[in-house]
Amino acid sequence: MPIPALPTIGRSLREGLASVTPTWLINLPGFRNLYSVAWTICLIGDCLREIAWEGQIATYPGACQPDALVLHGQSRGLLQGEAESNDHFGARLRAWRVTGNQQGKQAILAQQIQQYLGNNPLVRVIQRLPILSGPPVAMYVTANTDGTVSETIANWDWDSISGYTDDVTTYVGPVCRGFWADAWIVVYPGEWSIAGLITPLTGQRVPVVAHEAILNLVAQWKGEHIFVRAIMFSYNALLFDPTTPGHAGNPDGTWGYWHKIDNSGNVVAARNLTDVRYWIPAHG
Amino acid sequence: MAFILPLTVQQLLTPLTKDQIRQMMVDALTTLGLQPNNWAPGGVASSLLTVASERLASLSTDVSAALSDQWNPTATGPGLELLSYYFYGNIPPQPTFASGFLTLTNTGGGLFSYGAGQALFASTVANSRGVFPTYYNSASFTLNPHQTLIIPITCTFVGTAGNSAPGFITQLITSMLGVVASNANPVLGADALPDDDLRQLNLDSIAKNSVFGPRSIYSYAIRTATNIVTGAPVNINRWSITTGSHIGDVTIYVCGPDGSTDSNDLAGAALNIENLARPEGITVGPNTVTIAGNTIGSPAAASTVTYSPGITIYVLAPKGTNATDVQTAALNGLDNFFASPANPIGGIIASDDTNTNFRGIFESGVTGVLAQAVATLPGCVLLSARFTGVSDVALLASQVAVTGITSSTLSVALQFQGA
Repeated sequence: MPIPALPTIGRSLREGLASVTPTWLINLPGFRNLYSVAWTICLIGDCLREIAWEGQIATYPGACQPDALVLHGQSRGLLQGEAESNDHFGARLRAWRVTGNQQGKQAILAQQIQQYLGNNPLVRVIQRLPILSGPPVAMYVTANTDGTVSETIANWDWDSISGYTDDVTTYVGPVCRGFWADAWIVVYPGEWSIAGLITPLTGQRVPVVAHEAILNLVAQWKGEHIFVRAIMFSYNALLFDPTTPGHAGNPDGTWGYWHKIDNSGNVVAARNLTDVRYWIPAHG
Repeated sequence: MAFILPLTVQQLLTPLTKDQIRQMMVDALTTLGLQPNNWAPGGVASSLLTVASERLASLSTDVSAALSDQWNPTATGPGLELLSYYFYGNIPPQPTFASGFLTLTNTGGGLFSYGAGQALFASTVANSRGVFPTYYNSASFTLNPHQTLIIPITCTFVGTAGNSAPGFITQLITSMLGVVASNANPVLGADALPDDDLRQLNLDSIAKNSVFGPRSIYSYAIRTATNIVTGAPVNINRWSITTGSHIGDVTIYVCGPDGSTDSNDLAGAALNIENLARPEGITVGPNTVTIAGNTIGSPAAASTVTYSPGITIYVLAPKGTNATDVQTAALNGLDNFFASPANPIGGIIASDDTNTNFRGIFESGVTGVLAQAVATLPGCVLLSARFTGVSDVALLASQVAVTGITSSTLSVALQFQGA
C-alpha cells in the first residue's frame, strides 16, 4: 500500500497579491508604498503559513523534522535508541498502540532494551518456573539480533542451594524454587567496555544516561509483579543460553549471594565475575 | 529574525511577538528601498504596520498553541484535555461539586416541604481556605413531623474545597424549627486534574489494554477510579506500587491530600484495579475488600505520621512586612507540600544529620519548601530555619507524612532590609 502523500503548501500570499494587482498600479507613484506595506503583511502571513504547514508535517512521526521525534517519543512512552535511525524510530512510533498494549510482556521488555542499546544486542529475559522437584527450570524469552523472538524452557538454577535474602526476608533454597515471579535479564554482549581486560572485579564503564535509561525501560516494560533479580551483561555468548545450560560459568544453585563457602571452607565468589557484570535493581 | 527552513520544533511552538513581527516588516520594507523607520508614528503607513503586527501576532499565538496541543509534553489546558480524549482515548476527570446525603431528623411538629435547591445547609468546619461550605438539596423533599429523612445534597461551589467529613454538616441556614441535620458519610467532590497529572494519566493509559500488568496500568486504574457510593472520582492523589513478593504479589498504598483515604474511595480503587489492571494469577494487596459479594484484593490506606518539629524561620524582608503574613505564607506552603505528590507515600531517600540514608521526611526538604513559600511574598528571602525536636523522620513504605506544624510551633523572626 502506498504511503499517503504529504500535503503541499500551495501558492503564497505574496504571489496572490501580485496576481490581483496590475503592474501599472504597482508602479503608480503614491501607490507603491501602500503596495509595499501590503506585500510585507503578506510576507509575514506566508511565514505563519509556513509555520502552520511545517507544524502539520511535524505531527507525522517519520515524516517530521528529527527534533520532533523527541516529542512523539515522550507522547507515546517510547525512547529512541542510542544509534537508532530516525526512520526506524518513526516506524516504532507509528506502531505505538500495538507496542503499548504489550507492556509487561517479557518479549517486549527484551526488545525495548535491544532497540535502545547502540549495538542492538541479543537480549534474553529468563523467568523462573515454579518446578519444585527435579532440575530447576525457567522460561527463556530471547529477542534475537535478527528481530525475531524465541521462547524455550530449559534448566536454570540460580539459588536452589544457597537460598537468598531480599531486602526484607531470608529464604532457603527450596523456597526460592517456587519464586515464579523472579526474572533475570541478560544482554550480550555489553556494548560498554569492561575496564581493561575482562578480568574479575573490574568495573563496567556505563554512561549515567544509559544506566538510567535501561533501569527506566525495565521499570516501564516489565509486569509490576515481576521481581527482576539481576540485569546481567554477558561478555560470553555461551553463558545463560538455553541450549547449553550446563556450560561452565552458568548459575549452579549457589548464586543467591555474592559469596559462598567452597569445599575447602574458603569464602569465594559465588557468581561468574569473569565474563559477566551484574546490575541489581533495588526492590526488583 | 531570520527563518532557516525547515524550522525547528522550538520555532514552531514559540509564537512571534508583535514587536518581532513589526521589526520583520520594517526590515522587509527597508530591503524594498523604503525608509519605514522615518515614517511618522501615528501616520497612516506606520499605523498600518502596527495594527497588522498586532493582528498577525495574535494569529501566530493561535498557530503555535494549536501546534503545541499536538503533543503530550507541550499541550496545556483545554488543548491537553482534547489530546487526552482524541489521541489517548481518555475522558479527562472533570471537577465535580461535592455531593452526598444529609440526614434530617424532625423532633417537632412542623411540616417542611422544599423544592430542589430551596433549602440550604452548611458545614460547621471551615475548609482550608477558611470558608464554611454550604449545600443545597438536590431533590425536592417533604419532612413530616417526627420523621427522619435522608436527602441528597450538593455543594454550592465546585471542587474538593466543598468536601465535608461525616458529622460536619449540621447547620441549617434555611430555618426549620425542631429539625436536626447531620451527614453520616463524607460529602465529596473533586478538583480538575492539574496538567502534569493529566499528562501522566495519558502516558499511563497507553498500557490500559495490556493484560500483562505493567506498573502504569495500576496507576491508571487508581487515577480513574470512582467512589463506589457516590460515583465521584476518588479523592486519591498519591499511591505507592511495589512488587510485594517473588510469587506475584503487588502491594499498593494510597492516600488523599490530607493523608487519609475514604473507605469507599479505597473500594473504588480496588474495583478498578481488579477490572483493569490485575492479570490472572497476580495478587493485589495488602488488603481485601468485599464488593457485591465478591472478595478482591485491595490497596491499603497509607497510615499517617505527623511531622511536628518546632521551627523558627529567619527572614530578610522589606520594611513594613508583617510577621503574621510571613507565618501564614509559610504555613500555607507547608500545607500544600504535605498534601501534594511532592510528599510521597514512604517519603524520599535522603540523608539525615549524621549522613545516614533512609526513607522519610527531612529537615532539608522542609527548609526548601519554607524558602519557596517565603519567596512568594515580595522581597522576602528565607535566611535560615532552625528546627527543634525530631526534624528527620523515617517512614515505612506504608506511611505518609502529614503536617502537625501550626502557628504556635512555627515562629518568624524578621530582619528588615537596610536595618
